[in-house]
Formats: sequence, C-alpha cells, structure tokens
Amino acid sequence: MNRTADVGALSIGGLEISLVQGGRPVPVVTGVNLSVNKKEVLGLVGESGSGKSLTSLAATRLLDPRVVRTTAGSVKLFGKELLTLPEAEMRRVRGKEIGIIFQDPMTSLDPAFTIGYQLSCGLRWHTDLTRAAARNRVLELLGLVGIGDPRRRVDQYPHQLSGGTRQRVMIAMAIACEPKVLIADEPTTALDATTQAQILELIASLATTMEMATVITTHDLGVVADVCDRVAVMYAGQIVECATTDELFYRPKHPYTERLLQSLPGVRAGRLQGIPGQPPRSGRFPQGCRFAPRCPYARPGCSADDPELTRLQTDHAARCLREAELELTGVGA
Amino acid sequence: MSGISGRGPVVALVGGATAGRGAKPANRFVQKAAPLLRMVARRVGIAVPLLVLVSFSVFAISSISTADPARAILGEGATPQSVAQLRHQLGLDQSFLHRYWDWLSGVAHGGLGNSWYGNIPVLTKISQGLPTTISLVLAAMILTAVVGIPLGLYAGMRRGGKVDTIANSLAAIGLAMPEFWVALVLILLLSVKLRVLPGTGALTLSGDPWQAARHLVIPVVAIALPQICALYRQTRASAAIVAQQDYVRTARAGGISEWSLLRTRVAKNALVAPVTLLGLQLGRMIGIAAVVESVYGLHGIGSIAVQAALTSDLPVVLGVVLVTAAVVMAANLLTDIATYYLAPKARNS
Repeated sequence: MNRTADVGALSIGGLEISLVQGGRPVPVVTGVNLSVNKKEVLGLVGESGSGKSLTSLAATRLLDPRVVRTTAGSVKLFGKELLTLPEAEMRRVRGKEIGIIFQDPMTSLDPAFTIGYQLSCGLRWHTDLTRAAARNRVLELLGLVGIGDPRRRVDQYPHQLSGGTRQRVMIAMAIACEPKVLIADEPTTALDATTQAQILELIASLATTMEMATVITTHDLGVVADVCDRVAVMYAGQIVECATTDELFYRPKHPYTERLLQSLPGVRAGRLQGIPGQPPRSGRFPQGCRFAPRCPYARPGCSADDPELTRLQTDHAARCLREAELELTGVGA
Repeated sequence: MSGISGRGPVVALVGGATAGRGAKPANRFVQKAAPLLRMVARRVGIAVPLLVLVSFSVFAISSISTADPARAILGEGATPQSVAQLRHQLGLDQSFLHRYWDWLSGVAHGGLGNSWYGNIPVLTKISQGLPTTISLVLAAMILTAVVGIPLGLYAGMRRGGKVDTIANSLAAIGLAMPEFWVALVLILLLSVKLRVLPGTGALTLSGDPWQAARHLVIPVVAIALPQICALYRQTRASAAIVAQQDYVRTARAGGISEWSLLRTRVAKNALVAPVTLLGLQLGRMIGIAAVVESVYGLHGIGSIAVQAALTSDLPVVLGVVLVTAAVVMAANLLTDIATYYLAPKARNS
C-alpha cells in the first residue's frame, strides 16, 4: 500500500496494542500497517478512542506498560526494529531520531523550568554542545519556529507564554536535534482556529525543509486536507482506508470515510450529517466488519466476515467487503 | 531579637551575588529578584509584631495561673512577709500591663531579663542550652530530609515497585509508634542490651566530638523517625502526581534517562509540598526536643523551658518562647524562599 514498500523512514507492521485490564491484555488496536517516507506527511485520522494516538505513541515506546502494551507487530526506523531495542538505545532514538509534538501545550511543558532550559536539555543530552553553544542553538530554534524576540522568551517560563507560542516551543523541542521522523499527536486540537492554521503550516514547512517523515494524528479532516500527502483513516482500532489525500477526498472507498466527508461543514448544502450510533467501546469490537452496525450499506454478510485491508490501486487500500459494488460519494461530487 | 537577625544573612547573600556581577547584569539580577526581596522584607516586617503578640499571649497565660511564683521560689515554709517582699522585688505586685511593658522595654534594649532563680541573665541561660538543641534539631532535620525526600521521590516515580512497597509498610509502622516509646526502645536495645551507644547523659559539645555525636544518635533518631515517615509519605504522594504529568512524558520523549528525570524535573516539581512540610516539622521537632532532652538528661533549651515552666520562672519561659518563635518564623521564611525558587508560577502572587 505504500509506494516504496518497507523502505519507509518509519514503517509499522501488524501492530497490536492492548489495554491491560486485570492482568489480561485486551486488544484495542489490531493489525495496523503504516509507512511514511522522507519528506512525506501522513495523516492518521479517526475519532476519539479509534487508536490513532496509541499507534503513533507506540512507535516511541512511551506508553505506560502498566496500562497499555504493544502485544504484536513491528516498528522499524530505516529498517531498525524499535520494539525490541534495549531501553538505553531507545533513549538515543527518542528526541534524536524521532521528534514528538504532544497535544496539549498547556500541560506538556514543565512549569518549573524556563523554556530555554527545556529546549537545551535534549540538545545537551544528545549532542556534545557546550552550554553556550546550546543556548545559541536554542535561540536559533526559537527563531525558526517563528517566536519573536527569542532573547527575551528563552528565559521565560511556560505560564508566561500564550498557547500558540507554547506549541511553537513544543515544535522547537521536537526538531531540536534534527530528527528524521516527526510525530505530532493532535498538534492543533488544544489551540484556537486561527492559531491552528499557523501551527499546521509551520509543521508542514519544517517537514519539507528538514526532510522529515511526518505523522500527524488528528480527528480533523480539515487538518488533513491542508497539509497531508497521504491519509490513513482509523476506526475501532483498525485502519479502514489508506490513500493519497486527493484520492481519499474525491474517491473514498470505505463507507466510514464517506460518512466522515459528508459530515464536514461546507461539503454539502443543508443540515450537517452526522454518523448515527456510537463507535464500539475499546476492546469490545463487533463480529465481522467493525463499522457494520453503523454502516448505511451494511448487508447481513458484513457482520459475519472480517474484511481485509485490500489494495485497490497502487496507492489506495480499503477494508470493506462491498467495496467493489458500492459507488461512494467524495468531496465535490 | 533573633527574628530580625534573620534578615541580615539573607540580604547580605543577595547583595553579595549582585555585587559579584557587572553593573548591567546586576541591574537585571535585582530586577529579577525584586519580588523575592519584597516578600522577604514583608515577612520580616510582619515578624516583629508577631513576636510581640506571641510574648503577650505567654505573659497573659502566665498571669492567669494561680500559682504564686514568689511562694514557689521561697518554698512552703516562707513567711508571708518574705513572700510579699519577693513579690515586690519581682514586680509581681504591679499591674499586668505595667509588668508586660517593663519586660517589653527591656527586650527593646536587648535584654531578656534575669531568671528568678539565681539571678542569671536569661540570655546566658538560653545560650548555654542552645548548642545542644541546635545540634539535636539540626541533625534530626538533616536526617529527615536526607532519608525522607530521596526515598519518597524514588518510590513515587515507581509506584507499586519493591522500594515503594517496603517503604510504605515501614512508614506506616513508623508513624504508628509514639516518639517517647521509640526513645525507650532504642535505649533498651542499643545501650542497655547491645551497649553500643550511651543511653542518657549530659552532652558537652566542648569535649570529644566523637563522644558528643554518640550521645546524639539515639535522641536524634527518636525525634526524626516519625518525621521521616511523614516526609516520605508527602514526598511520595507529590512525586507520584508529578510522574503522571504530561511534561514528564515530554521530557522522556526527548530521550532523558529516568535518573536524570528524577533528579531534575520530578524533584523540582514535586518538592514544594515536602519542603513546606519540612518547615513545619522544624517547629514540631523543637517541641519534641523538649521532651527528648528531659528523657535523656540533655541540657538544651527544651529542658530549660520545661524546668522553667515547672518552677514558674516567667522570664526564662518568655525568653525561650521568643527565641523558638523567631526560629520557627525564620524557618517559614526559608520555606517561602525555597517555594519561590521551586514554583516560578507562584512568584507573582
């Protein structure tokens, strides 16, 4: 399903993530295959609880093993398996080779330290920059992410900055060591609409100029349309459709994607259409197709057989038993 | 008064740091430290009326007491005339406010008056007991902080781990044991049974320091043990909360090792509450020291105060209370300075 199979900067295969409940692991993400290439921005879309954040964070092994565990699959960084890497080596990957931007800039920055300290921390950990050199690099980074007056900002504490500026600091922190892979977990969810656009633009332009492979998780298709080259749609712990952004928006092949597109404001005249019903609770997935209970095109057979994620064209895959017979409407249709 | 002497070193410290830099950075430093200096000045300003209030309360309580100090001093067989004469000498025949005013103006001139027994200046008496109490309480404070805080930070970051489980059980046991009982058990075990440490005995700091330290071990442990347990639990709770914060995950995402994370990020964020508790524990330790000093026959200001209270020696009681109150206030100020450093967000309020 990816253009250059298995040689992506970051490739995830057969990933299964389970919640640990009373000692028994309950799978909440199953069979996820993904690959991102250099300079490519991949959007991972889904509603809350679909497993998109778990998937992106599993790649960095930052999940609390007492609560969530990766129970199967592989995560490869330029062919190097990360899931079995010793913790000490994994620490050299985090921050250095994979940069991460978290959702909430209000809580993701340490209130007790200046942003200059927090930025230089990773730099001095991964490189042998002196204190003075690290400070210069920090000032440079603050300028790079568009923060005005870096010399004043560098000695300020997070509570002295606005939400947008804090997220810029988070971005600066993620790219400080020039990582090859950037993971942004809902980077704009906690920001107001005007700031969202600026932050997205910043991430997209950095991804291009720094030649990073970027994964953005979001529940906002608008975000995807703005900056992503490719999109993977997640529903109930599975990828249900994966395609280039244009393909997915104009020629969706999965009913869930279609319903999502139809619920975008401005796509159709008249009242906004939601998707009736609720997504299944984590780990309590229905038999057969997991979307079948809410699917307007469902047939009795849909709840019996488990659909595979099937490649339809070189760059389009969908997980639907009736994919061949359905004529789904995309955007602008 | 000791309350005011606390201002000296703090200002000198800040001033020294300022003078050490060039003219321009010095200005920036003063600007940055301005809220801190304002807070210190405000707190020292409050200290003086607070100490007056404390002394007035003690004075008032002692005047309610029905025991006649003059009769207590002279003994049961004294004639009414000699009692009346002593009452006049001590000023006890004056009105309450008159006596308080006399005492207060004495303090303003730098004296705490004389003990009613043997006419020794109160300051002399206190300075005789102070070294013992200071070494006792300081050693107990250091022991409490050195054991309680690192253990709490580690256990809090690894909740449910081995250290956490064992330390929690020990802390629960430690908190359940009263200090005097711990003291007795320690004496029985370490000095009577095993004969490794002296049980009781006067401590002379001028003598062999090794012997002096040996005398301190049991009382210090007796004072510190419950405080260690309390401080451990507070630190563990704070660290456990901090360990779950998003910003700790951010630091991990940057590749920082767990040890470095604990030492820098978690420690600074989790220490506000434990440091505040430690400041409060100082006052409590001084109180417990009075009991422990009496039990171990140590000559500290605690045992002096107990002795003075039992014999209605008002000037000594007042002196000890005043010094103790000043020390507690100084500790509170240090706590606030520490909080100022640890929690930048709280600085402007």
